Amino acid sequence: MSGMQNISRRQLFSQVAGGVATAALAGLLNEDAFGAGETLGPSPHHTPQARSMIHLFMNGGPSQMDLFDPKPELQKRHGEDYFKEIAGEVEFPQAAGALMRSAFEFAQHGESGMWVSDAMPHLANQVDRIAMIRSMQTTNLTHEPALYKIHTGSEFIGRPSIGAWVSYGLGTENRNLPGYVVLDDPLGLPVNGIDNWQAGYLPPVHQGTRFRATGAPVLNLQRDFDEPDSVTRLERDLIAKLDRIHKRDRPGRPQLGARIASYELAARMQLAATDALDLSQETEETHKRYGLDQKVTESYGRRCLIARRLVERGVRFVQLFINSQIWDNHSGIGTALKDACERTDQPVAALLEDLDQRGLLDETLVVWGGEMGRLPIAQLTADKDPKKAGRDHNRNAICTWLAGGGVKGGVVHGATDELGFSAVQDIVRVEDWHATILNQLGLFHEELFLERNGLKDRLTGVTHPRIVKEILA
Amino acid sequence: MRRLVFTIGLLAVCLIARGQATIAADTPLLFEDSVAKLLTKKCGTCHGAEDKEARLDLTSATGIVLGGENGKVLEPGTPNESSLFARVLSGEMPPEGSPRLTKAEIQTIHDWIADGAKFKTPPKIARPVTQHDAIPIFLLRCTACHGTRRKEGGLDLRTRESILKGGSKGPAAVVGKPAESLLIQRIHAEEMPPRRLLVSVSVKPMTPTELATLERWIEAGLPLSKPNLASTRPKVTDENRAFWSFQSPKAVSIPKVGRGVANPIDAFIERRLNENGLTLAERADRLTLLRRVCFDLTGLPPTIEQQDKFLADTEPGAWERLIDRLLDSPRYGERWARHWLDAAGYADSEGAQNEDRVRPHIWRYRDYVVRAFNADKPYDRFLQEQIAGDELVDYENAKEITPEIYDCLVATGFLRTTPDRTFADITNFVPDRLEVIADEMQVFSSAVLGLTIQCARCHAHKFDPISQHDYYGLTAIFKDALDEHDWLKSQGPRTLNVVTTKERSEWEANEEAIRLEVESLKTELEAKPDEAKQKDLEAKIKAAESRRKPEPRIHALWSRGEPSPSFLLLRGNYLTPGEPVSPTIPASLSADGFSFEKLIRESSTGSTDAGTGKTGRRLALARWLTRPDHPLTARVMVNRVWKHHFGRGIVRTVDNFGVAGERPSHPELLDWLATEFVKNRWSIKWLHRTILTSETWQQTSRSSDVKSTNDASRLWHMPLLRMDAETVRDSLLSVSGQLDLTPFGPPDSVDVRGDGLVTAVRSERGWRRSIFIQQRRTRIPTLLENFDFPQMGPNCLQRGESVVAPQALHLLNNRMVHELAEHFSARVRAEAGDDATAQLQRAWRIAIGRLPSDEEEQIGKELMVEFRQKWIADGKVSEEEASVKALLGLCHAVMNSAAFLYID
Repeated sequence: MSGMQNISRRQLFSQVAGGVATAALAGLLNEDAFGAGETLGPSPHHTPQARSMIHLFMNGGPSQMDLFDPKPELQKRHGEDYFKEIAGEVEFPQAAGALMRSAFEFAQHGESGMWVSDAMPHLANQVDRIAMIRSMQTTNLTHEPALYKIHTGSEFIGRPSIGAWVSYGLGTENRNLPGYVVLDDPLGLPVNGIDNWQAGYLPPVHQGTRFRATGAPVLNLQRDFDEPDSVTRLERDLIAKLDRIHKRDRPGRPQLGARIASYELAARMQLAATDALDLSQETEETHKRYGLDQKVTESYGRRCLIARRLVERGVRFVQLFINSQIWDNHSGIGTALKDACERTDQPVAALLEDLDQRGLLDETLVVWGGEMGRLPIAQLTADKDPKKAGRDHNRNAICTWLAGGGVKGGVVHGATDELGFSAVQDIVRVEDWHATILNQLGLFHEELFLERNGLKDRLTGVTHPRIVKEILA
Repeated sequence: MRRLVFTIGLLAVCLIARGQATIAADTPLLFEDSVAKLLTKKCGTCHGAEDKEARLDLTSATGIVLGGENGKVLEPGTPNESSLFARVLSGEMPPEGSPRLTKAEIQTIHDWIADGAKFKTPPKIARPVTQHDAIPIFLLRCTACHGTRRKEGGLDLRTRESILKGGSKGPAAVVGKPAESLLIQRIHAEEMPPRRLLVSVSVKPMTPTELATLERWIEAGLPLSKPNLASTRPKVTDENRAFWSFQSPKAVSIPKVGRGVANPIDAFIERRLNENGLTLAERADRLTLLRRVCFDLTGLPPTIEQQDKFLADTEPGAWERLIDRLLDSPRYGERWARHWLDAAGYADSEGAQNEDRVRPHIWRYRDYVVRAFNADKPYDRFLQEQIAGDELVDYENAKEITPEIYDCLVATGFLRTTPDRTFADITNFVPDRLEVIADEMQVFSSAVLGLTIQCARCHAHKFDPISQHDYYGLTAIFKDALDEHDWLKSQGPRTLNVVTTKERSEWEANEEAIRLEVESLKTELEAKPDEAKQKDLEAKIKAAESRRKPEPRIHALWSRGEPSPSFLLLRGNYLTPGEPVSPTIPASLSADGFSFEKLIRESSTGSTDAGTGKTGRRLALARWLTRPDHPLTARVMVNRVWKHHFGRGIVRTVDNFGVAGERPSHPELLDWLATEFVKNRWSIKWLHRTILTSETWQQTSRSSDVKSTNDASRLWHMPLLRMDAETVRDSLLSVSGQLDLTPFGPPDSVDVRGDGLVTAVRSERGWRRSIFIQQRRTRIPTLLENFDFPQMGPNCLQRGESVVAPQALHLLNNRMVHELAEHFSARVRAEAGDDATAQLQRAWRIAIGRLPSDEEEQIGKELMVEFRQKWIADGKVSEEEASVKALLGLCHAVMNSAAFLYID
């Protein structure tokens, strides 16, 4: 990189063809290139409350009236016909049953007295750390568009995800690791696959980098053929020598410096990513706390622990996924929802507690939630056995919670109607939720844009979002 | 900005608190007393009786209640829901530069709305309900079963006449008596639309407001009103039309520069340079130019034979002969088709739902584009076929489907490329269909017109004179084929089984032969032979069946006749249809008094004449687009071709020639190219020859004179370009001798490894060119993705050019790249023998198209010695093998080098 020290930042950006390449460089180049005193990448719009974010994405639509939004009226009116009232909002009308009470018991927890059902005993101990939103709504009741909506602000493929926007807006704090890391489930991809963490029209450097929780964490991170290490080192030397000659003969072409830097980052990432994922550095107590000693929690617990290690190392945005749609409980909700909670409840609670004890929760925004909610009526299987009943999709009422990063603990925001079908008070739209998250990270949603086709394209599009300030400390 | 957010937040809190207090204490606030004056003063200049921006008049009671093109601005009682208040509060209005409202004025507006938005004299605006209010409701909720294609119970609900005629149970409506009207009764009884069947026809239940509208229409006697477009379509002024890109290209004279230049391009470029005391840079050396032009025209590195042949040709005209050879090569079309496929948003999958279902027939469109470029199909014809191919030919009545007819139908795949989830009932509702239409309009307008019309789907374009009328008028042109109320699902139903008679009969013959074979085998089987024979027969039947091929079909767009009427959608929302809209082209691109109907009559050919059921709308559009003096069509295309030759366009925003786009760096050159392009029968190969024979294009990229100017648009040297995704992959395959040049046909499938690495599956002879690999949106080969292969959302006019670590990791660590390096080194040894110098020189010539410099040769040789020593020290290979490995190390490093990946 030494050859680049003579180039000023402005000179560099003015000479790279196209704005797209420019932004990609900003994420890559570091203090080595610019010397002390110049900042790394772009700066926030205002003083951030959170430095990093962990998004615990719960694919499938967790049932709000079985977890966080108790509905006594639903208990009372169990069995009453209600389909007619909500016919247009039912994905499978053929299977629609009557109103169905929750199979779970609710109790109040913590000093705040927040209601949580007995499906989540571990989270129940953390309620004073979280702000619960009971009134989120989305725009589509089908998974795919609803997932695009929650991740990219639009129901359609091709737009940048929120993690990509954050990486684009804030750059990275660790020059050895990507700014946006995705920890997906070794058991399989979520619905919409890798599109959940796409960069869309933003420079590709901002797309989520998948770290696998086991084995090699990044595609092509390790040599996939046999060769003595000494040979590999020698070959890198050769490439570096050839590239320096190439660059020397072509002065005033900054992309050649960036290219050499990218080869250096590749080498550093091989070490840094391997270290971040080495959980043997953690104590046995920590392993136990996250549930790594139990089969049911091992996988999600591992990802939660890696998430903590990544934000510790300055990764800006970490996003956790679970395979398939474990929260999509169309049938047998009594057991299926319980299973989903068992896989995730202890690790999530451990993450909050661990972050707090290490003093990281103040600067880390943790967000939990899915892409939709569920209906108060039963969804019946072909044999109409009520024991096998589940709940169908619902775009009108979603529970989601935020913690840390300048968010108030122990608050409940918004309310649904007496049956829990739809949010009726303090409705939070997806764009409001996005704007609130950006706000905590120091970004103002209107100022975070990419000029494209003569327009300022934003995560929040042409909407006028409202920051949910009621939950902010 | 942070301060502003909090200020707005605080202000909102204060306002709400104070608002409530005011309401409780005072007598009702009236429009005339409180807000009329301040709105006239602060908003009336733009939103007044004279000048109605966004068709909104805020100076009269009537205007404020009626609202504007975005619908209502007032929700009495709830200021936060009223855009009048919300936009003022957010500071969006009045726009920057105009006098702002004071806090007290904002407070006044808030309080007036909170108090119910009362008037001293409430405006009388009870607009009569007409068919324009009722028909959209029938289209949305009823005509799926009672309309164009289906008439359940003999009932058609598309027009007043057909409603009164009714079906098998009598008239559906009784004039003036909604309660006695059968259709109202059935809806009230919730029998219609039938709730549990709704999803199967992708319809949602009717809302109470919609039902009330139908009742009011019937009560009023089902009145009809004629559309009165002239009164509401926003006026486009001559000033609007005077914008440079809305004016036809001008005839320009070629400038005279000091020294005589042969190619007019050089005259235009050099004049600008001379004005700034600059000149063109010197010509690059012959081998650099050879490498540059091979990548430019074919996307592949120059072969050793190409290098020898070009160096041997020292006669005048060698350069022109080289260009001709490259343009004649089939590799040319494979390269340049890719640029067009980016603009068209080509992909081999539907881009929707979890599985991202494969689009099985669209590859025929890809092949069409490759063939069109190779054949130098005139661009005007190329566009006409893609926009209206089905209207150019009478395929329904043709005795034989000729290659020409087939091409015209396959070409319409251009309008079928975007993500489309309408193959399933649950994702085939009207809004899902409208998204497909919106994406196709975006592809069409950005690729062909170079305009961003998608803004006008929801509101008038913020910068360009493009209104919602223009947007919906344009979508109406396509409505005979893309009709959200008469839709064909994206896969099976919206494909045609029309292929050339030759291909069809070959397929049928094959199927028939298999049928006969299977039949005779089965007859033998029925004779109950012994067990061994039986097994043998069963195996033979299975083998025969496996030779069956899927029916050849094409992924096309075709006219279905009888398009539904079009309505402007307020805020782009399908639930708030506005006034009716007729098919037409944007007003800023046509003169006052323009008639699209007349254009259709002038443009029609045999195939759209009366009786064929085709509307001729798209054909008229295509003929209008390809008029020689069209202001945009030729300019946009020559600019795109220029961009792919030089790395940037004369208009840098290749997809936006509008007000917010950039102005051309050399306007006269752009116009000269556009007019000459048309004169040379829209020949793209003419354009290539003209550009490539210019001194401008042949300049060196090595200019080190950084200080003289940093304005790259002046073209005082060639830019240094990184290979794009396909060029990286195809070049790796080419230098290693593993490139299978078999063209066309269904795409090669891809393999997804457990960790997510996506690679193309190998054919018998290697790997095919990247353009022939399956482009499933969610499974783009990792190598291509790392090098900025675009996400088609819905198309891509300008690819990213990133420099990121995953590229390095891929080339360094990936097993397939390493295997290709093995093939490369084996080839070098086979061609150069065992001598290290000969090997180095051969490797450089194959991969980089030149000999290594002395310095490179020196370093390379030293490293090969060291490589060999390391392998020997490792102790696992013989000395002979160590030499082989040393060459492998060198070849792998060359494939990773900047000299390989960058084009001078």
